[in-house]
Amino acid sequence: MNIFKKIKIFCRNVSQTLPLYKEYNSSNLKNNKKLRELVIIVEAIERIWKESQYNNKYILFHYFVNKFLTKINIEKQQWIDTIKTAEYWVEKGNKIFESFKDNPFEITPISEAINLYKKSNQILYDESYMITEKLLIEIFKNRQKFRYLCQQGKEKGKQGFYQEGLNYLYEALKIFKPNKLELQIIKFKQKVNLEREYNRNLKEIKHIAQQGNFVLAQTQLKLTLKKFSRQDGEELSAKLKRVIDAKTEYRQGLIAEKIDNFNLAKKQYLLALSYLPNLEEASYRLALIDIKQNNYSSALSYLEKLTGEKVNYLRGFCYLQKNDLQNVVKEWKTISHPLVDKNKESLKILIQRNRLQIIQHIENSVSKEKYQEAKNYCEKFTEKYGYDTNVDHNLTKHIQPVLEHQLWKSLDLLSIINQLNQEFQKNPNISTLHNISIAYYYQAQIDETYIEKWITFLMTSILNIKKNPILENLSWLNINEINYDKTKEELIKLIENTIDKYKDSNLKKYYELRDIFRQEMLAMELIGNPPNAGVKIKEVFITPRFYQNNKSQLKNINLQKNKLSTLYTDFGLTVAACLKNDVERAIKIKPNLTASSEVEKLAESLINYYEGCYHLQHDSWKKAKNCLQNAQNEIKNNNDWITEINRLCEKQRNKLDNLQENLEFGQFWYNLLKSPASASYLAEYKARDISQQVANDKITFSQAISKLKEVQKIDQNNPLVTDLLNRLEFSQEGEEIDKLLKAGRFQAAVKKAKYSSNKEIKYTVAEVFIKIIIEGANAKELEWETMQQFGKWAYEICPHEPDFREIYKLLKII
Amino acid sequence: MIKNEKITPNPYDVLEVSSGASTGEITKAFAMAMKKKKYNPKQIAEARKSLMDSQQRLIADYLRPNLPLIQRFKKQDLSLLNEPIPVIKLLPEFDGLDKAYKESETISESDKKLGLELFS
Repeated sequence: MNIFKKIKIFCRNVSQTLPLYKEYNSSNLKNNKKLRELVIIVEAIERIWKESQYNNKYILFHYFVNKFLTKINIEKQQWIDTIKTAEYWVEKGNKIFESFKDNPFEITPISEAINLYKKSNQILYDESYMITEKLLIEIFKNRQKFRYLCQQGKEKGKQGFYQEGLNYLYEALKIFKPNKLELQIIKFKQKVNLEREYNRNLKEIKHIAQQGNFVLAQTQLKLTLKKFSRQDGEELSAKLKRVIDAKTEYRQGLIAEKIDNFNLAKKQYLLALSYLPNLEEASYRLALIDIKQNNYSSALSYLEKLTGEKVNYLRGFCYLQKNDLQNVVKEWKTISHPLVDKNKESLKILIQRNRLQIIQHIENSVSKEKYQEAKNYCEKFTEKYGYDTNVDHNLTKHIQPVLEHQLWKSLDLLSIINQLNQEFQKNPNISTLHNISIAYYYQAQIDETYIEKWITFLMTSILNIKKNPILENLSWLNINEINYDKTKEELIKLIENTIDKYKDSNLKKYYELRDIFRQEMLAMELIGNPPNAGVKIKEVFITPRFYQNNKSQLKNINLQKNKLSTLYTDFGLTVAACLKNDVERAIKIKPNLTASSEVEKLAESLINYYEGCYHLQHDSWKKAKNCLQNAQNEIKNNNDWITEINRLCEKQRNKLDNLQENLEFGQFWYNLLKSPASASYLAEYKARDISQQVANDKITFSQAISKLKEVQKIDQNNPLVTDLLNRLEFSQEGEEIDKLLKAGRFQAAVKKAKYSSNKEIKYTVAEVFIKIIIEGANAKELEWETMQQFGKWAYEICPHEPDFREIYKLLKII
Repeated sequence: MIKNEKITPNPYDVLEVSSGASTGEITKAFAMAMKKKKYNPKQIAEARKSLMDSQQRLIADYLRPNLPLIQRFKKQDLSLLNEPIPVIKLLPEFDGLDKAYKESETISESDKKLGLELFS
């Protein structure tokens, strides 16, 4: 065969193969697992090439055709294997199903057959397999339901509920009708009549029991259960037995009580209660026996859950014996009985006597100078009978003042402090606060460990000085003549002098006390004079240290989010140091805590701001970075802070000379404030960096331009950025046009120059053409038409350029 | 007031005068204190100086505890306590042992109540 004929056959084969190949190669068949169809296609392709005996080794494409045929043959073999596996599984599934086809109670083999079909359908598409799988699932569900109904029916039968069980079995019968089930139904039907009779009897027996005839109910139930037994009947029987036993024991108790054998009676009643805890009569009798034996608390315990007039009377009587007259009144209040009414009259006299007895105790205690005891009686009286003018007068104007005088006479300062603190917790007021501060004043002089407490209380007392009654009734000085500011100064001086004593001897303590004093002073300053807003306990303004020392008892105080409140947080000492510009100390005493509340977060931000500024002042912007970033949210809300940070950053930038550091610093400053100064600074240094990268050939013009455009987003009108961008764009265009010219693509170069927005580019390109014309003319190397073409290009780019007008005229372009 | 070597005494305590003492009383008390020698002469002199200066005296007043005035104790009429105490005894009507026994022989109301409670 000649070569042309072979090529012709080759072309025919290819054209026959192509549609088959297209189908073979489409994702549709492979994705849908249509393996049988794919095998048919492959076989068809193989036939085309086999029939034409295409095996000439001289044909150029021989190698590729063989390679293709081998590839599809391998695939075909794999598909055939898969088809065989799928068919094997289906066959196996069919066998399993066939062997259990007629037994509706079997579901496991169906489940196995379904799984085999599922596996087959996962690897091969065969519509008949799909339909069979669905059918098997349907059969499986039916058998499952059938089995459930049979099981339920059987279970109900076991429990003695044959009618209910029968209903389930009839439902099952609607699905399948095996003999076994029909036999079961016959068996159930026989039992249903007995069950009906049992149900009727049980209802009647319950009715008898409801009427209180427990013995008759029990007798009838026994007869019924002999014929037909069921759980509910057995339970009723047990319950009836318990009631009858309880009633028997109760009656035995009554017999024993009648002959005054209280111990036996109690035993019987308790036994009755053990059978039937809600047998109220037994509890009532037990209470009565206890009353007869003077065991009133025990009697009350038996009456605890009982109600009714009789019970109220007994309970009231028990309280009377316990001298709890208020409860007697409560219990007898609702009883309307003539004899109880007489008792109520006597009760009134007893109550009056009781009141007077307590008053007598108060008077006796006072006369024996037992004032604490007298105070306790007063409190007991008020607790029992409420407010009484005389008792209150005696307590507040006589007993309590005497106790206070006695307390100070005791000279035991710690005991005084302890008692006054308790008094302040009960009733916070300025007088008690003042007295605590005085006790601490003396105690701190004896034991220096109390100095901090003294400072706290004295500062709190000073904060409330204008409301302090100690200065109100001075006989030697009119209240209007008191110079409160001067007095405050003198008292504060006392504290300062005390602290200063440690300056030379104990520097650590000196600083600690000074920190506390500064915190208190600052709070006083912020609260105002007279105090108008701040943290208060009732009418008493309190200082941060006072709050801190009593924090556990002051949980109800909600600290507002403001500068003053930050002093009351655990960050207070540090905040005070910051606000008084002692940031160095603040850094030293900063607590290692996590702020949780809003005010704590504000305190933390404030500290971070001051610490950050401190580092900036000392040209350590890297140390400042973290602090200021942590305070960023608060900084945004505070213009003064923004101004100060900008000022310090301006100062800091002048100290940096390294480009990289300038860049890092600029980025931090800009991220923090986004202020115009920071934006301009960052943009400038970014531009410098880009320029350097271009100069070092690290980035292309195009990369640099894109980077600069990003920089422009930081500072839109930065002159340095704009200038650099212009220059880069010029260079880029110039480079592109240069490439076009070098490649001889003059038309493209002209077009690019013509539409450039840069006048310099236009001029330069036009000038190149003009120079070529001049040099060509001088050397007489260029023809007239060529020169004119160059002239036209120059004219296209710069038609009005005066420098070139002469040339245009000479070339007769204009 | 507390006397301890470490403590700076209150001028009022040193001179043993009340808060309302006049200048004359303070002068007299100064002489008495010098005689008594309870405090050293320097302390006595400073106490006098403090109380003679109104601002210093104000601080001395401030550094004392604020103790309330002790008013007269008011007594009350307790004559009722001399009268006989009424006695309240348990009313047999609320015992009802016999009634309970009789009821236990028949089907009582409480049985019916119990029956309804337990078997409804």
